[in-house]
Amino acid sequence: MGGLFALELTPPGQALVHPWAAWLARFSTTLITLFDPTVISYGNIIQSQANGFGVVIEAGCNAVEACIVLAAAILAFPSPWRHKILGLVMGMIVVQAFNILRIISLFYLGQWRMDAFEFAHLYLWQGLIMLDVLVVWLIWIRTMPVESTARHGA
Amino acid sequence: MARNPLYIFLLKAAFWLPVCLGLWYWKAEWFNGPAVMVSGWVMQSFFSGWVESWEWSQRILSIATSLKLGMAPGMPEGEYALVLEVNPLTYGFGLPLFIALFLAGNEANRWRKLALGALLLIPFQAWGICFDLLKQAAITAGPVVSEQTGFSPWKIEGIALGYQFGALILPALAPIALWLALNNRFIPMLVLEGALRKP
Repeated sequence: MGGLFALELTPPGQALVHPWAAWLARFSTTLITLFDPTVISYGNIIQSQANGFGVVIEAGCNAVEACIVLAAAILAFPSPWRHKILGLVMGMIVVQAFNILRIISLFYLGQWRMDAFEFAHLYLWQGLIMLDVLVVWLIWIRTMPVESTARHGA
Repeated sequence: MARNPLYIFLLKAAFWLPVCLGLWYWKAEWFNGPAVMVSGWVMQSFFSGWVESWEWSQRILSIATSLKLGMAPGMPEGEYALVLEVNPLTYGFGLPLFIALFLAGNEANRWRKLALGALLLIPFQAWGICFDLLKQAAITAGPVVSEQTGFSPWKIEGIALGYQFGALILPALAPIALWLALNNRFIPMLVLEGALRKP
């Protein structure tokens, strides 16, 4: 995990993280405009044209760290490679989908009440995202192939 | 069809997390006090050359330093010393997450493990607080202040890495890792239960 985290902070890692944040902003905006056409995105910012409120997707908001923790947990746990790869792909999709829900909810929470936004942004969603990582990992463990389970138990 | 114990556990955890977070936020001075005291002591002990005093008030930890700020255009004449401020709660939400996981489970010696886990989480929160303060002094406050701290370039790199790790990874990972460590029967039971359910 330390290696993956250090890699994220290096220039090549950042060259992937920044476009990812911009893609998250674009994708979240695409979903939002299905019911709210006044919302636009530019770079890693999502903004309402109706009231000017915007959110920036920074480090810690892009769920990259949550994916790193999940990847480390899956890679460290003894299981067949096929099951690991399936867990990595499916797990990261689930974590990122949950993170998009977080971004959209925070975008609207901020327009409603800033104190509620602060609480949800700094504390509630941080805990929920890690709970999501734990859920995904536990489900992955539970669905491990039987032969591997026997080896793990031995 | 038998109810899945994993999903029941997760539903309970999802219920307890907002409840515990609300209580923790309401009584933030109590729950974050120990980590703040440890952080204040660490800063005063290890950086006694420039840390003068600390204060915990209004959910903000303030550290008075002897680090002199550079003059900026428009500032009245005089000497200005840097005061570092940090919100310790941003590094402490692991405690309610840890308590929620415990309340969702039904392990033996639950309350003893809960108290032990809460104690063991204090250094992780203190890590985040201390590295946030160090990052402010060594990087955010600018080169004039950074020079006075005496940090070498590689130490500043270390502070940046320690800050990132303490802010992005530790607060959320520590409670889950501790919960798993204190419930070492949970994973083998889950593996076994999953295997028994397979046709």
